[in-house]
Amino acid sequence: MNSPKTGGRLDLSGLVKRYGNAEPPAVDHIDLAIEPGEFITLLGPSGSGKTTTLNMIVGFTEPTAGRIELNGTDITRMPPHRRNFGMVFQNYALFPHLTVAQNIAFPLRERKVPATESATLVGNALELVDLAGMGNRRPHELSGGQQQRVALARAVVFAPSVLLLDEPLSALDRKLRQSLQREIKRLHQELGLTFVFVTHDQDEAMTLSDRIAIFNHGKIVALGTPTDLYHRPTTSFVAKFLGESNVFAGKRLGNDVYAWHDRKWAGVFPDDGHLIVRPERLVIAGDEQSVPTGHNTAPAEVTDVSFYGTFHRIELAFGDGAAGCAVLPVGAPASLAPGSRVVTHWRPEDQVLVAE
Amino acid sequence: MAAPTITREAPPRRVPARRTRPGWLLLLPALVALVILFVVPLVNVVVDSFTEPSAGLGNYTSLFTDGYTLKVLGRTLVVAFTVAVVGGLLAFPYAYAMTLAGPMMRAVLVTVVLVPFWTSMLARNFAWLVLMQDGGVVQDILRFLGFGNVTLLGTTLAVGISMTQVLLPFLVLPMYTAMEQIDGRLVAAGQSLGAPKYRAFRRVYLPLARPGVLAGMSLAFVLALGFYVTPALLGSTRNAMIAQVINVRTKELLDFGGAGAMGMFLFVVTLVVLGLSRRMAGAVTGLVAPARSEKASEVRPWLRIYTTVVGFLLVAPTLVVIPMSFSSTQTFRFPPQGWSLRWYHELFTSPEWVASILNSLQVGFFTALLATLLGTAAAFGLARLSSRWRGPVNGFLLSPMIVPHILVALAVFSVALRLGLNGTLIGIILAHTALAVPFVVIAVTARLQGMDGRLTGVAASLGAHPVNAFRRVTLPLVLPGILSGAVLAFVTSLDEVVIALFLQAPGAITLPVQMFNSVTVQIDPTISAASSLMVVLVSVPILFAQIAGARRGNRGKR
Repeated sequence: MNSPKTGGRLDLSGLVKRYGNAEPPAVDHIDLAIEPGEFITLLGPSGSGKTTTLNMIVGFTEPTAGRIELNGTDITRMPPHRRNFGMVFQNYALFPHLTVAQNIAFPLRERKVPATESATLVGNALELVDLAGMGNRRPHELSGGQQQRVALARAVVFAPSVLLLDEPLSALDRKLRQSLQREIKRLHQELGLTFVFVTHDQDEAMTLSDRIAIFNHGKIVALGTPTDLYHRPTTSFVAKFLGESNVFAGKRLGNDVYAWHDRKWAGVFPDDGHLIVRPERLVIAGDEQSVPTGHNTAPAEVTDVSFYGTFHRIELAFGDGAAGCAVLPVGAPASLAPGSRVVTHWRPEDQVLVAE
Repeated sequence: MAAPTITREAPPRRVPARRTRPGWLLLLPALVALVILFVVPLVNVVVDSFTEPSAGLGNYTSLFTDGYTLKVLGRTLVVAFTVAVVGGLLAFPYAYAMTLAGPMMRAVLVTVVLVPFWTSMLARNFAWLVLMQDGGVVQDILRFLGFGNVTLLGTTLAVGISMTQVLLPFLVLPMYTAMEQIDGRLVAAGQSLGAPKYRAFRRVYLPLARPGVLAGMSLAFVLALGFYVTPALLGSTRNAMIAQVINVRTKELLDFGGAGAMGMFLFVVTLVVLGLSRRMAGAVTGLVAPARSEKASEVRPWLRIYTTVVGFLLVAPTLVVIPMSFSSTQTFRFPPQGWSLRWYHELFTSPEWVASILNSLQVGFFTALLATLLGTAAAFGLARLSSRWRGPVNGFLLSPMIVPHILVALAVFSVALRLGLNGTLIGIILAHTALAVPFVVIAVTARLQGMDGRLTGVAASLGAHPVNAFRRVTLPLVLPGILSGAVLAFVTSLDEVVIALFLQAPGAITLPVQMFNSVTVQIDPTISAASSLMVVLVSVPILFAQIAGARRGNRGKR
């Protein structure tokens, strides 16, 4: 594989896509710098503008305003076939009238690669995705996972500088999805390309990405590494979209006091907002006496307990009526039954203040 | 409203083939009828072609040695080929636009394609006669474009234009069916892999659309080969096509051998072309049926204009026929100079026209009745056959569809002549029944296959005797299919003209034959009112069947 040492650098600036006079636009002034060789994921609910953004990067959709640059060159109006980006589609989009090998050779023929060289490249690409010897099959003779590997091979065989993936795993079942996630991660490491990955699956985004851009209503509402975004979310949307959260809608009384329900909590509160505590940071105690000093507390009632093999998940109704949850490792002394009244508590450093 | 969901998960595909003997019993009437009405006359033609007037291959050698015959064959092949190619060029962008259009626009485009089917064959040819006559609209347009006064009637050009229009739906529909299966993102995938848009279209879209294109064009080609009415009305004897020569040889020269050889030639070419197109198309398997986005794609302005023009061409004859019938003058001038109901008055008072209307209704009714009985029983029988027999038997039941009508007419005519059935409506009814059985078989089979095969078992488990299970479960579910089969049979008979022309006699003239004669024998503008009546007679039953089908359609479906 004649892969370049580094992937391309993409700069999106002030990108807008408006269909008709729709308000707000589908993509609303997006600025994003994607580093060479980076694995970036565009994550968001459906209709949030992530796929439209991808389509503008690959060139299928023309932006209403803004610029797209590749390594400093403006490519905003360049037709898709000249951008030299690989793209993996949802549901594979393999050509049903061509064999696997012909599918992979398609981009090479467009680039007038001589037949012998093309055959070698196709062979290498098939090996890369673990499908050696399958070249003469037709797409419909392959399983879903195999088809997606062919789509991957086809998208990288011509050594593009950027690989775009549009929800490539959404049509596969859970087991296959996990094995292809590993495959994609390995390809990223081996090829050193820039990967732009679109998904609505937060677990996929967390395991694969160097950075995640979270989309909502056509805007990027958060950008950062998975650990950053998980541990220090900035808004309650991010906190709820990436992982699970207990959200306490209380009121800041001062720089170090926060009031919720009938409690006053310690911590640092520079602004007003909601308090977030992740389920795995929440500890459950039978009564107020057994709570370590310095911890913040919230009374709750257990509404349901379910067993997940490696952990128990406890559904809660907090004192103010809000629903929440906690996870407890199996083996924890938990004689919790639905209906029991408990006190949940956590260290002040485990809570995050977010904008509403 | 949750009731229908209980039958949703994977039911067996067909009514289980438990016992095959009742299957054959149900098939027997239709098979016997087809053998007597269709196979025997055809075999008779084959025999005649080798024995009349003297035994040997004379009739066949003269096909390829006789200068006049060769010329006719050549002309027919060239016209049919040109019609298929030009029609294909008109139909392809139209079908493509159908796949891009939004749901509303697509409904409009589908309706426009179907309008010609609702407008009787003769009415459409009459409309072209009006449009292309000297001093007609088409001539005016050509003069405006600087071609001078071009005489169109009697030329092969006029025949070709009319045939292309008549055959357009047969080109559009298979193309659309194939194109609808193509995942639009495949072209985008091609672009992302480095192909410019036109090359992605050529390397990805065209190969995938090819089966539909080939199917449409070969169908149009073989139908064009056997056309009789269009060349007879719009052409002349100087540039006759093969069907006209068969007509003259049969009816005027009583040269059954020569006509038979020509008919067999037509039939063989038809089989070869259809067989080849199936081989060449090599159906692309494993197309991923795309989740159709109901959002309209961008339709480029040139495609929009092209589609509008083709759409206009599709409905033009219908738009001519109806105003013409309200004309007050004796001529075929369009647009009419004045308005009146005199031609309707003439249509419903003149003894000849009234008799022909009654004859047509009678023939249509009995054809529908016979074909529905035979076809429905056959479809039920077919469903019970083992899969080994189902294919061949189904092929035989549908075979009247692919034999050129002119050959059927010739075959039926020579048998009817010998049996003395000429000049009676019975001969026409029997011949029409053979043609109409396939439509009933197709409609009922489609319905049976769409039915959840477990339902009769469910009825049995609830205590229903097999007879009651059939009466209370199967029959109500299949009824829409039977009804639409009956309507198709009625319409087929009503609109059929070639066989009726061959079998006509003073007491047995159907409405299309009367219309045909009113143009060729005498010039009688009553034909315009008759054409409008035909539009109503054809479209009302179809509309009725569609509404009934739509209302019942959702019940008991998988």
